[in-house]
Amino acid sequence: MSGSRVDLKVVLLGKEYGGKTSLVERYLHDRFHGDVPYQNRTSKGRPFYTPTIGAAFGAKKIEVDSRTVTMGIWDTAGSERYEAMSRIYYRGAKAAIVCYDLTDGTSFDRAKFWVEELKRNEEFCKIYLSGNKFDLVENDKSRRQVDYHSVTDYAEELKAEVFETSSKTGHQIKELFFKIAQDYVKEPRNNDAAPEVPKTLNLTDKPKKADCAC
Amino acid sequence: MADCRDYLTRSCSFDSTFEQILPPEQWKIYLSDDSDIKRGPKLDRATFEGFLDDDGRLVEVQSFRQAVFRGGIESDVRQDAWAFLYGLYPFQSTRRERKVLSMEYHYRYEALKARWKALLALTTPPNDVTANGAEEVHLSRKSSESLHNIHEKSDVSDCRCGETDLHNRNSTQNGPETKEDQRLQMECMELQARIYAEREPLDIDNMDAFKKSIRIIDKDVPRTDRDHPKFKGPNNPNLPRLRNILITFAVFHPQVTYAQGMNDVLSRFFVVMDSEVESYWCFTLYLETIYKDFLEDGMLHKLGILTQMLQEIDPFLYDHLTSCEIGDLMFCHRWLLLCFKREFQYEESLMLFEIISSKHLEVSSVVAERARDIARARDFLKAGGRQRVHAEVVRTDFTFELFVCTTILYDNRQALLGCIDSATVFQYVVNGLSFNLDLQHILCLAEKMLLAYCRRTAVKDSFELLEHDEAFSTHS
Repeated sequence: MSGSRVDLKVVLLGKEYGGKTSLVERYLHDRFHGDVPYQNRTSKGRPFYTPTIGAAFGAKKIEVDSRTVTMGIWDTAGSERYEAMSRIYYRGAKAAIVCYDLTDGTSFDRAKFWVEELKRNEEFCKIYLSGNKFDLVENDKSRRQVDYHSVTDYAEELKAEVFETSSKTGHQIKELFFKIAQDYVKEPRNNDAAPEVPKTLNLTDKPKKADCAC
Repeated sequence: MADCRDYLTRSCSFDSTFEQILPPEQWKIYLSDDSDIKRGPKLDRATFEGFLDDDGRLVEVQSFRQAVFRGGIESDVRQDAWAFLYGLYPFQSTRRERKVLSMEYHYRYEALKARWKALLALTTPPNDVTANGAEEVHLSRKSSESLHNIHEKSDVSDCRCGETDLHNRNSTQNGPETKEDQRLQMECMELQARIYAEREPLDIDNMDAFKKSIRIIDKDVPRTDRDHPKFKGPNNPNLPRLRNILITFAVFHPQVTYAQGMNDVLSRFFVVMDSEVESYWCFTLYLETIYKDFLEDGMLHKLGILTQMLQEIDPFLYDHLTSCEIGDLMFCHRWLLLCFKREFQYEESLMLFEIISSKHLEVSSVVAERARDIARARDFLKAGGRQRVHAEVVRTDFTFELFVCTTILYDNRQALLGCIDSATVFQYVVNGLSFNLDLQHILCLAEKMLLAYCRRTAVKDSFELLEHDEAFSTHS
């Protein structure tokens, strides 16, 4: 993945602890740490699954209809107190994954709030509703707090897509991102030949210590 | 390095307005190597005690701040030093006064905690888990800490301050107290604490907000630095203590309540102070000074100041970031909110936290004023004894913390100038720089940058006067 400019900006929005970070982690690295009772650290000492402060970012290339799309994924902090900042993060997004927790009814109210926001401010942003933690309701129907059909009814009005996903099992996650990329490629507006940007910084480059020891 | 210089030169040749850019040669000299700035040793026990007088007052406040700034604090001195640094005890308090204060803190905290617990019990159905955290057992054990224990604890901490029994007796003005006197004194204190707690505003109509805070706290606490020895392992007894502290703060600060990231801030105080009561007060006193960072407007304001600073110090980099549509520097949010906690290993982040909190070097501090004076004096000489009028604006909101941010960006400017959009900038800074920073190097550079900024604001149009060999001789 060298020298790529992000073609497709995807932003994740939704209530805190709704599973946004886990969803990204599963998609980008195909791993899940939600069952670990306390935080692990990577070999470099970086914590995962601490509450997101500000936003996190990841990029991935995806092949759709013999075209390669570089997706830039922005994972925002879920806290209600950062609404204006979230607006900065979703600015210019082509797709928004609005997350809610299938076991938490209030998280869907919050999802509706974000949908309204996006409708109002980002005309060209397609909306994907993602009901997270599907594994929890799959075997225990009593834990489900958000009805599938009422979500699809709601989504139909918006022309939004609905996915019920599980970061634990990976259920529907690749499908969700593939659909996003597919819709992006199909959209004529996105196919105007963008000027080639010279190769400058590799998205997967890691900075080295004292890279620029001025 | 060479490339950085090229960028710097370019930045100057692009802009003809001299005022807005730094003369590249001077700026490079100031920042090019670390040899002029001496970082000091960590503040050790003997040095710390040298700052106290016989009664335990911290009389050498400036020296104390300077020592903390220069080298940070040895881990075995940290607890005592932080108690002063974060305002738990006034610098002028004696050991004896601190003993009384310590008890007062204990009773007040317990009274505050008891108040919200009672309220929660009244308004929550018995099977609701928010009222009783899973590890309530630990809570009750802790809150029933006996007076005897408190007394013992105070003695222990006083011993750490190097107090001897002899000293203690000498400083006692009213002669030895009887056990009965002590008991009465404590009862009185406990009663006063309860009155204090009852008087603290508590918004009973806003139980929903209160319970919402508790729900988020209950999710954040189990994810707070669980790889640190203090919080490791299942059913760690310190987790309910963190929970108590965060809830108590949230309940009695209804304008701020609880925000994610506060758990990170508290973790530091808990690790260092090693007591629920003292951690609560240090955390609260600290939060009361920076709570705006936890409100969106406050953080946006702070990022705005940082933006102005970068604009002034490195306009070329600022313009580049703006062209990447990230001129708002949102990627510094986490740095500022958690005081770089997630960018360094735990121990290093503690050190940076205390160095920033030392407030030894700020644009408004004596050290900075001295740098400005010298710059003015040299300018005066150069002008043949004529006094020149300078449009001097001292930005006291340009804090050392913000200089650390700007330094990190400046130090990585080559890579940042290679970034093509907000995504690559974000990737580089948020994902890449974390745990990849050299703390000592950054501290040296930040200090140079702040002093250079002060000289420049003192004699804006004669910055070139300052020569390398004198550039950094003024700090001590």
